[in-house]
Amino acid sequence: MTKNITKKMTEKEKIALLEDMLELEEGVLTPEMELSAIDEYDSMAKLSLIVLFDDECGKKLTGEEIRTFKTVGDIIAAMD
Amino acid sequence: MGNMSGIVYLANKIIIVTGAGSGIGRETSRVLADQGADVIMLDVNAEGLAETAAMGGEKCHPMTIDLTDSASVTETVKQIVEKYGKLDGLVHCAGISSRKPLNVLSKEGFSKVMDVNFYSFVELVKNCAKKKHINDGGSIVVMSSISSIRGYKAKTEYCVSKAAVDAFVRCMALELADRKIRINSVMAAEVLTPLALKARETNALVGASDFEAPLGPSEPYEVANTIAFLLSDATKTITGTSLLIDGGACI
Repeated sequence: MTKNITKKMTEKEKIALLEDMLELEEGVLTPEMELSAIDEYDSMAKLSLIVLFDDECGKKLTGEEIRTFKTVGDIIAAMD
Repeated sequence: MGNMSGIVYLANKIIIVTGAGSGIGRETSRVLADQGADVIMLDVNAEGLAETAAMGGEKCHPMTIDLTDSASVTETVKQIVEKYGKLDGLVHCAGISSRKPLNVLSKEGFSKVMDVNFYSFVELVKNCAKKKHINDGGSIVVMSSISSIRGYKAKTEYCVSKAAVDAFVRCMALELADRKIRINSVMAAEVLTPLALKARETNALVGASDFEAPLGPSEPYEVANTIAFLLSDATKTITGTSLLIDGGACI
């Protein structure tokens, strides 16, 4: 993944990143979706999320923060 | 002063220890100094080095360095030999870990881990092993891991870097044998360092338990003692090997 931390991403771009990370078809994810309902959001995906936040947002995501995520929208909000 | 009548006797030996600012490197510096060695402690973390120096006493000599800068490694080794005399040993404890699944692996990510865990060690050995820099009969020890020989989900970069280290050790053991210089690695499982305890949080997150050892995790001093043994004259024929200290994890 390339560094993109200087550019502020739109919600659509963030969702596209998550869909790419989870290997989901474009347009599948919505901010309201519960993470527990997404089969692809497993332990490996959570590790990928840490790398994605580091690479794309310049943020160090902790395990504790990940545990607070309940919906796709929670992840998107944390990407700001 | 150290154990004058024991097996591990390191008095007046000049030994470089990398990663001395924390964890296994810190404990190794303390143990080697306690056994009488002059320990030149290298780390990029000046604050951590100062803390280790305060713990280790007058035999511990801190030097801040970025080991991924090859030119700095060359210059620093030269300076150390000029100031303290020819080396008797090198211990490479500096290292970083990573947890990345396949979909986020990249050449850039591999390079970051390899630069610290592997290439910096190659540069250190290349510079330290020069005839004018190390005494014949010297000993080199590097921290490896059972990750070198086992597989773990999302630990590819780290596993590959440690496998590279162990392969390098075997080759160098042959190249340096003519001068009776030994080189070995220590293959640890879980060692209770601050970094390992932090890693446990990530492991808990993903429900992974990397190291299940019948005897449980090792304390840093146990690894440091093993390193001290390999550096000492207690053995002159152990070379090119990777010594397991894993609580039985690989049984």
